[in-house]
Amino acid sequence: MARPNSITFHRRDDGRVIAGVAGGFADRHGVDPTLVRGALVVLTLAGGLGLVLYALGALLAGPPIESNSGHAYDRQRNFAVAFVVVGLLLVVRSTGLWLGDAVMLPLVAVATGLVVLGVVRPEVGEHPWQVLAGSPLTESSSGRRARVRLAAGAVLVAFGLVLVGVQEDASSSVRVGAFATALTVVGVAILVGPWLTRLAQEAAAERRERIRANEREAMAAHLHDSVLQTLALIQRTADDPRRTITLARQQERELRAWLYGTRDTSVDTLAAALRRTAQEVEAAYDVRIEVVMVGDAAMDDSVDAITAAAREACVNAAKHSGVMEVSVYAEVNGESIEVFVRDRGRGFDRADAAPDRRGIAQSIEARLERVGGIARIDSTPGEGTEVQLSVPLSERPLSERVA
Amino acid sequence: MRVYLVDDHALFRAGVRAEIGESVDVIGEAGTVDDAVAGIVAMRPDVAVVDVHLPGGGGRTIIERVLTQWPDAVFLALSVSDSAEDVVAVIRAGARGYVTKTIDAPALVDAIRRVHEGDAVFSPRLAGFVLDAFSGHLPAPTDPELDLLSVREQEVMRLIARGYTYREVASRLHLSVKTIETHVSAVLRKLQLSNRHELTAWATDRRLL
Repeated sequence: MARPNSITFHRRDDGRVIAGVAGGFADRHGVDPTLVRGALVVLTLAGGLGLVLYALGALLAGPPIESNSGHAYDRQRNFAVAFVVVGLLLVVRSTGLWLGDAVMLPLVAVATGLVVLGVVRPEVGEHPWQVLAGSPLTESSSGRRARVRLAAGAVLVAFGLVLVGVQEDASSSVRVGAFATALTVVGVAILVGPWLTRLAQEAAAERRERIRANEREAMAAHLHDSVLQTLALIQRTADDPRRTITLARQQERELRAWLYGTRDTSVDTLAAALRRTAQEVEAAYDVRIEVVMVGDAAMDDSVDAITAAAREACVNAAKHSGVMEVSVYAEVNGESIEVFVRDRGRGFDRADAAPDRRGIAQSIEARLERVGGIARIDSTPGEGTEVQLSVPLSERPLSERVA
Repeated sequence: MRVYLVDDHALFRAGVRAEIGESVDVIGEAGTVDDAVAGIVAMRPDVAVVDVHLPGGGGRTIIERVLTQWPDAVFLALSVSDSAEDVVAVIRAGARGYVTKTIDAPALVDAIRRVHEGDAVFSPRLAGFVLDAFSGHLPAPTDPELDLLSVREQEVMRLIARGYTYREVASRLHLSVKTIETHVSAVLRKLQLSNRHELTAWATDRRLL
């Protein structure tokens, strides 16, 4: 490697933008090539000084060699280059080449920004113009299209600058000034627009992906909490068919409600309350409860009472009927809510029923009486039991109110 | 009785075949809509037991397509679904009954036998859907004769929804089982012929469509 103090350097062969001057200089002196390129661009704005320096560099530099761009850049040296650039700008400012602070300061800022964004940051080993075409500014379109776009943008920017430059007194012609500014803005938009568009598209795609991932996560979580847990439970209770069936049924019901969206969590209604009650009794007593609903009603004291009474009836059937199946039918008509809880079990004669069963029957009846309802228990020994519950409807049925 | 089974789960078909195979003759089975239509039309079973949910259109599509080629086909719908929309759709397409997949083997064989004999098979759930469909929450019917259930039919439907068997309904209403079957068949016919607009309104009202 050459001595660090030597001013001479070799042009870069790979990873170059034009002739490899900036890259070669950067390699030689351990500074960031992007910074060197940026400095040249900024100085070009300042009366073409950058172009002159570049041409000088191209003449003086040695023949192209392979770059060693792998090494780290020296912060201090980077700062040194930056200071040199600022100094040169100040020098140019004091000469007639300077176009005026109002124009030059923003332009220098914009040019610096563009450079930092990586307009002139080639990847090692690629053809320079392909590299430009593939830079963040020009998205991943074909090299030819990108080149045309770059050229158009550059021409517009340059034209805008020239127009601003020829105005000796910028305030005298606001119109031309505005036109020039507009041209410059359009040029910059052409240069940066596709990149911004791609950024926006990427953001949108990322958001979609995130939503999808969230849904997947929610589904995985649900399946884990419900289905997988139940499958594990079923494996452990394989020798207890009754329990296994109950577990499978419960899970089926839950999964179906989840898939077809029939869970009534938003609006609490008679139907939702009865289904929940049925599930709870099923889980507690290993029975199967088929709930059939016609109409529905919003929750109130009457609905609470009849649901609680229906629960008692289901529990009784589960405990005493000796069969595994219980039917629940609920109907909401114009004036009342009726619920029927039926089993085909052993039935009983109310006259000689055990005292605790009478008590429960009374609790069902008393509960309904408080809201003006009635309960009837219809049982024939050997044929089954049907508990009929009825409460007057305090409000109109839910379906009518919704309609 | 020659029975054809349609369900997209081979395991479920195998299970049903094992359970009812001694009582009925399972002559064929299919797992897709196209296979089912071809199989049923070619083999002419006494009863086709059709799952409501199938990829490619479901039981409803099978019933509609088979009936255009073989109008005498008899269908029993079998489903795990609680959705009124799906169940009403297969019944309207022409199924003579609907039972849930949790039905036990003797009850399933009985249901197959009954649809084969020309009866309608209403599970409690289907009776509930029917009562809902014909309930007074609909706009005024355009054809009252067709669109309303008679008092007796409502009574029968209500008892079936409460879990009564046809025999139990008959003894409770002091009627013959045959009369109950006549009522149920009449309800089925009304359901299949009733004003499409109103069923749609009913379904829309319940956010099924």
